[in-house]
Amino acid sequence: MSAVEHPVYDTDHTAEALPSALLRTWEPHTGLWNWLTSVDHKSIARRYIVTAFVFLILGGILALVMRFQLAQPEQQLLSPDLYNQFFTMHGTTMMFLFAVPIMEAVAVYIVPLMVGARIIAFPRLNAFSYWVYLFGGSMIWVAFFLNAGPDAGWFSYVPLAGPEYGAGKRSDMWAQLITFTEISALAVSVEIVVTVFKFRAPGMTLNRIPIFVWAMLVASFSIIFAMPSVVVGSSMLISDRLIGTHFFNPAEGGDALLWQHLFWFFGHPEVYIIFIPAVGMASTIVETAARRPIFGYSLIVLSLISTGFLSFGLWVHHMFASGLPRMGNSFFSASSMAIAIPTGAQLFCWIATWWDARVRITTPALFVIAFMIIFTLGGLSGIMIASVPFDLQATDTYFIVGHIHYVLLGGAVAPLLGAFYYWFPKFTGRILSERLGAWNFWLYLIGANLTFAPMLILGLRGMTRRIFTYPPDFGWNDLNLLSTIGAVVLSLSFLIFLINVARSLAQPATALSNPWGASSLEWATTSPPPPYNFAFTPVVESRWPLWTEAGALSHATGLRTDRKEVIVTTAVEAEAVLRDTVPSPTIWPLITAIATTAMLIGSIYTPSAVVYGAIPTGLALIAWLYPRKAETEFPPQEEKAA
Amino acid sequence: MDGPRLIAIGGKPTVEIEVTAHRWWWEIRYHDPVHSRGFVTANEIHIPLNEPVKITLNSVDVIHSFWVPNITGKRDIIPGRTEEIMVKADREGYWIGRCSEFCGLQHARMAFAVVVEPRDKFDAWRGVQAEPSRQPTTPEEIRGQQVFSQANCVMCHVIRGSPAAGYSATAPDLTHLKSRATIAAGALPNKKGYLAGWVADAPNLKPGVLMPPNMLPPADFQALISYLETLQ
Repeated sequence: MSAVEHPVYDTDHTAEALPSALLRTWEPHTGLWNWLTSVDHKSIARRYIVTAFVFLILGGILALVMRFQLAQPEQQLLSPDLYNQFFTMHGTTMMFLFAVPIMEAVAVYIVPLMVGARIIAFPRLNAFSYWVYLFGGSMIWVAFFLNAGPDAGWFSYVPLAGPEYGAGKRSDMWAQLITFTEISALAVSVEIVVTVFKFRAPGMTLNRIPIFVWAMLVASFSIIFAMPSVVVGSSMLISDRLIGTHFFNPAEGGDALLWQHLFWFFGHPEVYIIFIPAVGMASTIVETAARRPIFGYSLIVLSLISTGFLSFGLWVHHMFASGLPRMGNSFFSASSMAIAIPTGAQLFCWIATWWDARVRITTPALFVIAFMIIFTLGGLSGIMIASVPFDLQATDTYFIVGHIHYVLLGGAVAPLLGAFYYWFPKFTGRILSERLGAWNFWLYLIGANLTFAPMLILGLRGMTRRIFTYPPDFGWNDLNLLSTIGAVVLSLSFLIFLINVARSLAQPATALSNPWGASSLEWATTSPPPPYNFAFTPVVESRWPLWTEAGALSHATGLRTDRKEVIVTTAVEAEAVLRDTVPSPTIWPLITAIATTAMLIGSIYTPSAVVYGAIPTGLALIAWLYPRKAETEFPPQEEKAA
Repeated sequence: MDGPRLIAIGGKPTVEIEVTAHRWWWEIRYHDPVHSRGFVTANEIHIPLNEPVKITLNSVDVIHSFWVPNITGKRDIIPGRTEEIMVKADREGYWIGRCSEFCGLQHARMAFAVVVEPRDKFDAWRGVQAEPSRQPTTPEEIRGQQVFSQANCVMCHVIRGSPAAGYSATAPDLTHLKSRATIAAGALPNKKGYLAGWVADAPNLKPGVLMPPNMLPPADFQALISYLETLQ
């Protein structure tokens, strides 16, 4: 940083020389060191996405093996012990290591680009959150391969997961994984909230924010409000198991039901933390496919926000059978039905957007159609079980298994796959094959219905969940076989997806900046974007900058090129108020994550690990946050150009 | 008001049953104002047709859930809490109930039966259940009763009216074992061959179960099974 006395601004370069000048400043390292120290949100997000898909494949393999076990009655492919570990790991992996992280991963990549920012807020924290997620996920899978996989369900009800009945370290591994997840998810949520509020391009007022960004904002706030509940719960569980507290032990005045309240107060918003980003993705795809502004922008945004609020008033519907007062059950029954309203409003907005439009049906749009079909069936079965008397029969049967998979494969995975096809050019500079995409879609649509529709019927025929086998004379045999065949079809769909990705990656990166003709700012830069995202920060004058300002996107100048600078804007009106410097790449988030991991894994075995483990973690944090001369020399200056 | 009828079964219960869930079987206790007429059985509940029956639910270990799809919805049984439900069955039959809250290794094999029968048949069944066990008659059966008391069996199981009488809540009461249609909480038919296999090596048939394998000399084993077969 020798040029500090002679600052160089973007206007000092020619248009041709500017990118290389920015690149020198924004990506000073190369190779492995660059990879380990990177604080670039796109680099982090790509790792996040790859890691999450690895967990999806692992969790999917578990599901497939379970389906083979259940294809026929009284099979002995899996022992009861292994089966319990399989379904616990399947649920835990899919919820904590795939669904939530993949939504965050896409957001970490796309949200800063969509709001026209050069960075995600707190980029070092972003690197840290990825490493913590990777280490936590690796820990639980290593434990599983060592026959210490959790076996008390992804919900770990006490006392089954408690010190008396949850033998060994299995449930400790689970509870500690939750700690990793909490840290990682909370960090990402804070980054996204701050990015959305403070790093939007000048002119992007609140009512010009792309819908996906709104969705991520709502989901991030949901994480921030929901996570503390499970933080408390899992800490109590670890304390009960490790140091002999009695939070959940009724014999000593504790209460086993308390765990269920704490878990589901987090666990139900969790479903919406997955679902809300996915509807944001679907809205984005719907608009681009229709090539006209989405119908009912305000209605969709309000629906997202009300879904976020309502999702905190539903948790007791997981506990209707636990004998709570009837009045309470009635309230939660009503609120569970109410949540169908904002979701329905969004579906109708999409239909209205496509009504009479010349819709370009590409693979992303196909997956939105899959969303509409599969999710609607899931949602309707959800309204059925919102009714207490029906739920008392259906709960803990395969009806619920069918329902949640309809909801999640329809309302989360389908739009996610669509979003992946949609943003793949931006992620990699390559477009996925449409032909394979169509195969992917049809096998997905058929596979999902073939797997999960029989489960709904099995549930009505009384097949309880979480059973490793069933007797041959209950009339469940054929439907189970059908479901297993469906699972194979669904697996083929994902196999085709992976082949599609692999084939595209083998080809040169030739994608255009805006291959779909979309309206939002992520398409204003190259595919994939350079480390600094935008050579000039765009200035937004409408909700659809690339449609209304086609070819002549105005931009702000006056940022330095000899150090990493971004524009900070106001929360509501997005007026530029500050030039701010950006943290440089650093190894310390990785080292802090390693120290945190050592502390957390150590504390599975001994409480003193919390004390001694805090020392290296603290030292790493000090090194991470230690003020550096180059970053403190100039206080942030008032923005002078726009 | 007719309203409450929609959400609850009214009337004073004519039978009160206490169900205690264990990993992985059901202890069934019938109360009677005459104390000696109360009794304990396992995995099979009999109720009279068209009469309100109160069922009290407890768990001694983890959370279970009481569910008889054809008769009543689920009610979770959370340790430390006592739940009460009222049921009324309006059709005769042998209805299957299952534990419906995941409770560990043998959650899949934790079934029970609810037998709905007319009042007279119910009273007859109840009368038999309250009786002590049948006394062994042949030398082999008498030997079997001795084996039962000398081997591991008596550590957990109770047979009223035999030297193995007493109170135990750790394993099913066997006083009228052969009056039940299944053994091992619905896992196996209550036939001599299955029963012998179960006594010999229960953990092999239902991994995780607390009952240990029994390494008895063949003659003792035969006698034991013959004796158990008499417990009508």
